[in-house]
Amino acid sequence: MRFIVSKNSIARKSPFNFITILPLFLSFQLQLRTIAQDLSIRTCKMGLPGDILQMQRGQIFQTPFVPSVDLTGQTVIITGANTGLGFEAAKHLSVYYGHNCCIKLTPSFAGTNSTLRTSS
Amino acid sequence: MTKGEKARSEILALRNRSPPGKVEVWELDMSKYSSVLAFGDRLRTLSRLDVLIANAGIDTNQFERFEGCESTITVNVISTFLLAMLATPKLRETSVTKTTSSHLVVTGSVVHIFAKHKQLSTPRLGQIFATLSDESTADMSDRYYLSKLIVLLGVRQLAIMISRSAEIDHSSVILNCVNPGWCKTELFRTNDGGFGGRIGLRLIGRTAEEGSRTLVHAAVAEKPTHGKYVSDCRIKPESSWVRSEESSQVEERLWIELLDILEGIRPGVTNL
Repeated sequence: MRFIVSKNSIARKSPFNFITILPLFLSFQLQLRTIAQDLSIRTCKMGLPGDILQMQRGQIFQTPFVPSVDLTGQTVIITGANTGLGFEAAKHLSVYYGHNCCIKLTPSFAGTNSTLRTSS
Repeated sequence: MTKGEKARSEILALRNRSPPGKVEVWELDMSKYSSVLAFGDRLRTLSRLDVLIANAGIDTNQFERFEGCESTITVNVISTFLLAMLATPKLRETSVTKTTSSHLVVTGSVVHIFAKHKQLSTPRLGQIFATLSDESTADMSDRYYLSKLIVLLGVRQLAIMISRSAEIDHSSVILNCVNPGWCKTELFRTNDGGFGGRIGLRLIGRTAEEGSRTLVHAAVAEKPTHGKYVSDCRIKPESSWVRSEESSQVEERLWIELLDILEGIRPGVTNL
């Protein structure tokens, strides 16, 4: 019993509880972001390592957004839309811009070899 | 039920908005030029075509031939550009008659930065595609990267052609090469980069939905994206090699060769 109480009191005094960690964590993330931005300006002339940094930055910090636009009455063709990215893009285009937007899906069946993948 | 029909029914099930648009499934086999040509003829019958997302591609590390060329090159490069060439007249027509901008989106990839570009600069004049289709020397572990590099170079050249033709009829076709990022899709089903690749994908990989947003963005992007590499919903610099002096020569050589191949498939297809 005493042991549990003492453990609780330690936990309450500890500076590393959730509320104190959160701003630290956020500021750390912000710092990472600025460092990454700073790097991307310099990385343009760094060759392959620069390209890789650029890629990592995009992949980790720049989550793509869904653009808003009206495609009413338009015709859209997406190839390779039976799965993956093409399929998801078709869903976006038909649901969000759905008024009379005509979408043609084209599943591309590339061969019968099982190592081949229709993609994305 | 085919995969395409299944996709169609899933999309239709999602939509409860009215009035509903149409969703059709057209068959296309990118490994056969005849199928691509038939598809191109079919899209000529449309009343309008605003957006074409040339997204289909493969990633394989086994050497195989489709239509005389190595399979990744055939599907990701030759068939893709054949389709783009076939669709461009319709896109231009729509742009002129409806006074809008039409979009041609080609799915590239950020992995073009890893491609061993020596494979493009060392072959003799007019021998790039022949060398890539030589089984004894083909570097299949690098093939997907290389195919996406060729796609990016091709998009830059095709954009010049489209701009030139736009001066004649004042059409506005916006062509861009989009990088969807590293996504959890079926593309990596067998070639997933080993243990590190799987962990990385789990940590920083995007879902297919997040990746698809980049396609949607590119499909409605503004004029400045024409001929550009679009990544994470913004214009980004291509790899350092693509921006170098050496690449512009390779790009031109490659493009002349690719146009020759396309002319061989259907004479006159490259006259935009």
